[in-house]
Amino acid sequence: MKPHGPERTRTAPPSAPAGYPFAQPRYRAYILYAATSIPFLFEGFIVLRGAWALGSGPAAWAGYLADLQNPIYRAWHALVLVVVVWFGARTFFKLFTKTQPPSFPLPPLELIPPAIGAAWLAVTLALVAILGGVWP
Amino acid sequence: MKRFIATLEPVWWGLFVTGTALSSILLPGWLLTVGLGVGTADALSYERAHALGANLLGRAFLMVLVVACLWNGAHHLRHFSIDLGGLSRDTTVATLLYALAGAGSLLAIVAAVRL
Repeated sequence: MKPHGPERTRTAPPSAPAGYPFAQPRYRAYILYAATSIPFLFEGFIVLRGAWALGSGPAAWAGYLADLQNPIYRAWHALVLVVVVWFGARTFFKLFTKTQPPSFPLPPLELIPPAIGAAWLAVTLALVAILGGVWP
Repeated sequence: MKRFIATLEPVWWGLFVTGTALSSILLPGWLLTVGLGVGTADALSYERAHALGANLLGRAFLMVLVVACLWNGAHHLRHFSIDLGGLSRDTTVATLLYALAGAGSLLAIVAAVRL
């Protein structure tokens, strides 16, 4: 008895490799990269609260700034800064050139990470100058 | 809901990729000054902060920063959940996270408009 046609190839159900996710450095780096999502999500709401306070008047804004001076907030923001710099460096300098579609029109890939790095530094310095009261 | 989320995958992915780039580039400047207090004593006085935030660029900056952080975090956290726990709870997790990011984005637009 012959089959009516070619059957679909059956595949094994997906399963995590042995030792996943902490046994090997590359798994740990991958998991750590994904875990950066948590500080990004929280920080989005902290910035949102600031924008809302700024629109609510001087008292609300002063309360927001006073909260940010709490050591817990300061420690959190220091941690988030480290996380964002690590995440951005890994994204722009390590992953970006490896994840572009081959037919996508881009300048030479070796030029892109330094260009993004320069833009990143310039934007950060400009924001520090503006928000830090140096300019304008 | 599962089908709806899957159908809109290009939207989630687009928001995530854009959010990844913009939040990484914009957040360090915000964290150093507003978060960690780098700058002059009156840099963030209400009058100065409101003048900066209430102009067109300031509103756009605040709105983009919030939306970028939320969608970067929400989509990546969904996949973090899949990485650790598989697909069995993905519909619930994705619904909650995208609803959270969507609500936060709407509030960011309102916050920028009312400045």
